[in-house]
Amino acid sequence: MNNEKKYSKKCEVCQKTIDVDIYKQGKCSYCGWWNCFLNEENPDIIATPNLISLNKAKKLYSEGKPFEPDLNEFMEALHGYSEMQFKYNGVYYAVELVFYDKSEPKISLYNSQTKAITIFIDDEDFKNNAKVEGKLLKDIWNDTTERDWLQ
Amino acid sequence: MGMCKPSGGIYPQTGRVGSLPRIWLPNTRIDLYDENGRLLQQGWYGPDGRIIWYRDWSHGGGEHEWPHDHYVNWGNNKNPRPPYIGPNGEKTNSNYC
Repeated sequence: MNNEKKYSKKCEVCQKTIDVDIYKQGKCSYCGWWNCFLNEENPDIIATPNLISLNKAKKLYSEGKPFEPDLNEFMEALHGYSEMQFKYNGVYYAVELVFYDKSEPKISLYNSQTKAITIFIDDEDFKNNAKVEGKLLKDIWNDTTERDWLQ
Repeated sequence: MGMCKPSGGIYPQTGRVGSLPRIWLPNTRIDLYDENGRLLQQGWYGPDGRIIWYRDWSHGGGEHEWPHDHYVNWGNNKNPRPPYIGPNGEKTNSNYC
């Protein structure tokens, strides 16, 4: 099988013709969407490499907005990948699932500057109580950048 | 075929952490490097071509052992990637190499 051969398809979001691999996967050079069978079979779930669902991407594209996850989508991505990041005021923060025992995983927030770690018992605890520089994360989410898989 | 020396071969790719494809050539491994040639992540692909195992070699965050493994739970509709913890607490599975 020659996996170096280039294939083409229309991007699921912007409908422009793009190069993909043999499995019709590949990043759209026009809109930035990673075309992937998993998102196409399940247009409402979040799966790497994309940080939002296919249906959300279509909506944002139609509105001319960037493909950025809101806090709920970030949390969904966390449960899929286990290790996430964002940046605020020049400082990187890691958000990770932590498994202490066989119970439901906890959520850790790690400040890469101070090395401080805060543990939250579940999504609601994190979304309602996680703070960055003394501010609730949910209140400053739109000011964060580099929301991504943990790099 | 074992997961060491995958029968379908080993494929180097350049990219960012988290960019490994979800499906690839069956029984293969992709080694993901950054632009400076640093190994970031490896992904093992099973007989049906779906990614089944990750080994993370380098990324940010808090306290991690390096490398550490994650498995993919395809039985869950969100395909989560929980960390691997071996019977003696080890963070990598020697069956994947």
